Amino acid sequence: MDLLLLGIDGLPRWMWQQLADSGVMPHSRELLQSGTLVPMQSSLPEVSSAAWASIVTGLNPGGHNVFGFTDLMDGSYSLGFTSSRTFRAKPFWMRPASRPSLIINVPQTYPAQPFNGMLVSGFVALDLKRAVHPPDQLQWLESIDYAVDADMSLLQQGKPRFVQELRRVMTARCQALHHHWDREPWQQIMFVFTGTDRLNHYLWEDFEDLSSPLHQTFLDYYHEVDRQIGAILQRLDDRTLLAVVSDHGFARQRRSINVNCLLAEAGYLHLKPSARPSYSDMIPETRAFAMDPGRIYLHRQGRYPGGSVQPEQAEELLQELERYLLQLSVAGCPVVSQVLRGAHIYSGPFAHRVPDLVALPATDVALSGRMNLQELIEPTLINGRHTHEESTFFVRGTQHGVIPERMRVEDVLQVLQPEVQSLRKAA
Amino acid sequence: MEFKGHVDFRACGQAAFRRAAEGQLVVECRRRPEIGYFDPLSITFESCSEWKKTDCGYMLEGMKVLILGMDGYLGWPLALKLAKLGCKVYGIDNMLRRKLVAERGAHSVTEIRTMQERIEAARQHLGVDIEFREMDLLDRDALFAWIREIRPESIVQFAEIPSAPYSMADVDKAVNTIQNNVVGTLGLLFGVRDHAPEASIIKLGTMGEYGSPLTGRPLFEGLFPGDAVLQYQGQEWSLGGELTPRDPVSFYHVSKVQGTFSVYEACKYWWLRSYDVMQGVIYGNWSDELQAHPDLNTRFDIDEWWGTVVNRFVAQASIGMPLTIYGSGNQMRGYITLRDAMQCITRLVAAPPDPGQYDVINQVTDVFSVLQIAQMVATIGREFGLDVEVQRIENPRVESEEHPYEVIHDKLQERFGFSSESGFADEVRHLFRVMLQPENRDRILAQQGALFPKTRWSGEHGEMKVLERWKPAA
Repeated sequence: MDLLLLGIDGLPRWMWQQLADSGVMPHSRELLQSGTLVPMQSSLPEVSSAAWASIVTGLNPGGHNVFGFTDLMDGSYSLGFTSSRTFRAKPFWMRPASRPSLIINVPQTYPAQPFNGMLVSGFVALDLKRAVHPPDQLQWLESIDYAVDADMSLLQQGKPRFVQELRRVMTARCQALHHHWDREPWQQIMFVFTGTDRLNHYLWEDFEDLSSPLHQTFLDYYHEVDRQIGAILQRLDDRTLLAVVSDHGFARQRRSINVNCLLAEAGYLHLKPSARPSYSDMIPETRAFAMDPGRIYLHRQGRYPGGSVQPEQAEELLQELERYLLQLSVAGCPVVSQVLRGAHIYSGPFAHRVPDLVALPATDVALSGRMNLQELIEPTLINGRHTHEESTFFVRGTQHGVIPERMRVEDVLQVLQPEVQSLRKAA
Repeated sequence: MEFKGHVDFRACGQAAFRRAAEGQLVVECRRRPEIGYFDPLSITFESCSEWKKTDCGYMLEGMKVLILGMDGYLGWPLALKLAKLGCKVYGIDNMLRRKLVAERGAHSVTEIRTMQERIEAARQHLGVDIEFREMDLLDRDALFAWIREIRPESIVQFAEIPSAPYSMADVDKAVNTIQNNVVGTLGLLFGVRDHAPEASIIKLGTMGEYGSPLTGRPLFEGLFPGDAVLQYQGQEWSLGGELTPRDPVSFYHVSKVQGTFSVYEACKYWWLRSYDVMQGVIYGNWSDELQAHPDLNTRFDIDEWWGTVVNRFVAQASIGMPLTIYGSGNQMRGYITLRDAMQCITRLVAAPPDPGQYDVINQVTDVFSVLQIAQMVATIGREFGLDVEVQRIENPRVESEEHPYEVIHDKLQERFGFSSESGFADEVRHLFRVMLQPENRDRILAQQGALFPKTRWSGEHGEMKVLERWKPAA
């Protein structure tokens, strides 16, 4: 086998090192000693859908068209959910001459598309029946109660029950990995752990608080992830290039702030009254609006049905918004740490669809862009948030490409597979 | 009426619902799966590329509509209207109506072409393509295979034998009516369930299903539990313990009531979706599309079995034959012109019901007594120099001749944006102009013997007695 690419959703580089060193993840400790671990920058914005799409294509969102979990359909206010259908670049396993690949639980691959290999989609997948290629493998997955995602509603029954669910899903997923690994001589395998991200979102406070009764539950889950990593490592010989990546880092979240509330308050966003506000309720007076997490779009004429911002007004408005966002504070704390221009950070065939600005959150803050403007600070059980910095990149051995000084998610393929890179250029 | 706001994806047969992990409801467009998944409440009719605005409200672009009974009086003009609006129209017919009319010694007053010629004329004069297969509704293998192939988004069920006196003439005709209508509709429902469950079914019923309740209970528009007590204009009405109270007035009407229950049950068991249209007595032969060329004519029957009352009265007046009123002539019925009926059905096709929804639509615009109709036809006949005579004859039917009649018919206007485009007088004037053309007049005279009723509900034989004859005052 040429390549095994392991994904661990939401695993910060520093935390992996810390849990490895402290003995919570002993297999990882051994593994980390056999290669190079560096921090990696996530995509912009730092959401899983965009970041995983970048990892598997080597492109930024301007190249693969995944800017978040949602997007507006061109020329309308229809809110679409990104999927393999809107993911417009070919992941490495779908490129011409790609060798047989086993791809399990990679986000943004639903519904499963035909290719040379087997794939089980990762989140967001709506129906297992359409998450599997080839479809004749569905029955076996159903027989082991394979779930594309954990049942998040179990949070209502308390965190311990939720963690139990995360474990159940991980066990079935790893069982699927080994079962299918045994079936065929795959040349490439990519497998993603997702429960880590879910755990971090809801139990981050328990991780940070050493006195929390669930602190050990948190560590135990990572210990189990590590045990699974050990089982995978055991099967590998030295000829396989092994890499471990995560899509973003993690940090404490104390409040989730709806940027659209702030834009409305400052007169940039105007909605007509509606029982269930949506983007189609924006009136032409709207000059800017946000989408999750911190994507800011000018309400440009020609881009949106009721858009009113003229091209010659855009630059001034962008500068005004940058100033406005950076000086914002809620409850005495800053909201935004950095504002980037879409035109500067994205490139590729979908560069015309990019957000005009991407705001990165300040410490302790998560940003959202909901159209329900009732609450500036949104009530949520989530207490951990993504970070743009400090995602994980690890590669075993020395037979790999040069790791850039500022490693980014879109550089992963380039480092791992110079030959994949040449295929990418050919594609 | 404008269909503003969000596309109702429950009504859009193109939407498949999924529930994402965190409970977010998303829809997927069956027509364009490549565009991915959407928040159903973020899509408006204006923004959805699959809907376009027509004179009959927002309609799915290129909607696939299967018309069962496309060769008939209603089926053909509907096919033309929908095709002209941009629908992809498919049709079947076993051509039975042509055969049965000929067996009665009658024929369409306006000459009609073969289906092949009609389709060619539609292509030539309206620029539309209609796909037709000669097929019997009861040939379920063929029907199901075609449904599976087309995957229609709407199915209009007109493939029924539509004559009360035919169904009462003898046992063979009664059985034929029940067999074709009841078994045909029942089979269709299984075909839709198995091969196109998302299609909406527009089922043609008739106001005659209701009968004419002697209590004066209004003919409520909808489906109510048997123990419902409904209020109308301050008065309460019990439905008498029956589901959708029905009191059919012939075996033909019995077949329609059975169809109503079959469709209702299918919607309940299998989440099919249907509008059951209680149509009033239809008349006229005019529509924008039919007018494009005489080769596009729809059939126009006037005989005892296959004609309807207004059409027959105009034909009788045109050849100097007295207008024949059965019994007192005080029987009240709901009426609608062909042109308005086509608009109504088109609007129902355009705005399909929710999955599992069965709804009753009362499709009438006016309520008249037969006497009133005779009076109005006679009056308009005078404009054409006709000295019209009216005769009352012994009533061959078993029906109430004196009864209250209150039809509630609000839904088409209020929910579907229907607005009548043709009134009684104009439609009758148009009919006179057509009937009085010499070739058409000859074709009426040639079947004069078939205009006077011979079929008694009692099964007895013998000529109906003429009770009274007069010329209505101007």
